[in-house]
Amino acid sequence: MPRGYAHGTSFRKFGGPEKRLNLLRTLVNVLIKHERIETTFAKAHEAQKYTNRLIEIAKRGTDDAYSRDMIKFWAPREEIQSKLLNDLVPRFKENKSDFTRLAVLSKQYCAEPRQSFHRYAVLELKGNPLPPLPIQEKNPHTLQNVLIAAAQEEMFNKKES
Amino acid sequence: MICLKVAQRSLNFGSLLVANSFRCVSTSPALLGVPKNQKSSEVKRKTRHNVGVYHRLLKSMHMLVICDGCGNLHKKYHMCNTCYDQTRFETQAVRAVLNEKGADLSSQTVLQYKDDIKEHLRLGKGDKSQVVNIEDRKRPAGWFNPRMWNKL
Repeated sequence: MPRGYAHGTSFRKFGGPEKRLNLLRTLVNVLIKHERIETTFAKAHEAQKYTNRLIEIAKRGTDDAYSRDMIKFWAPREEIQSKLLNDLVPRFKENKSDFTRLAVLSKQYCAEPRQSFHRYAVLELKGNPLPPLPIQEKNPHTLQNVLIAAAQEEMFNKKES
Repeated sequence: MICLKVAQRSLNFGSLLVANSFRCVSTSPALLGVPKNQKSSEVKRKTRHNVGVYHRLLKSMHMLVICDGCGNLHKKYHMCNTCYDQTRFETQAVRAVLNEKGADLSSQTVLQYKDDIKEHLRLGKGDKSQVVNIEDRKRPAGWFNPRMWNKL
């Protein structure tokens, strides 16, 4: 059985390795189909990492045996495979790693009574056609952020040389 | 002799009392604290219901912040409920229309509201675009910033 994340990182257990993988696989497939889901914060946080990795693998293409195996396991149904390769890969051509967005909700929207004391969250794919979430993201065009970005580039260039 | 304010459990046999005196005061079981009298119902009622400054039931809501879009209060780092209710209503309407057709969401779907001009919509080239018509109402404005639509 796969052990989990690499050295130094942490992951949530979700009741065992088999249950965990099945849970995450369903969440990833449902996200790719509906493009916006409401779950507990823990499930959404974990599923976010796996969807980002899956889309990164799909961008490479199906020439690799590794990428083929991964896509076969994580998206076994053909509808979702076709959506992944034909729809999402050209959408995220310019993005390197950020394909999803996580936001915290209030607990009113939780329908199940067993999960009503967990934090509730919304997970969505970026660039979806649905009406937007009321979130204010960081503006890269403010003076502070422009200066910070320039300073980061300097640091990066200094390290290389 | 060590004097304690709370009652001590006394043993009947004198030999055990002598043995206890060599032990440490804090760990011997004969010198633990114990209630002397039963708590009356009035005293119990006071501890539960007499609300003071540091009462357990008085917890204030911290981190309340005003929403920029609608002006209501919400917890910091959480989403505003009134704003999210609007998005949820609209998404459910879109999903109902798609369920009737039997179609799925894709990046080629475009939402067309009542008074939208077709040229301003981002329709794909050719027949790939999937238009979802909502004829009941106009495109929602206000806290839906038009720059946020169709944004990565």
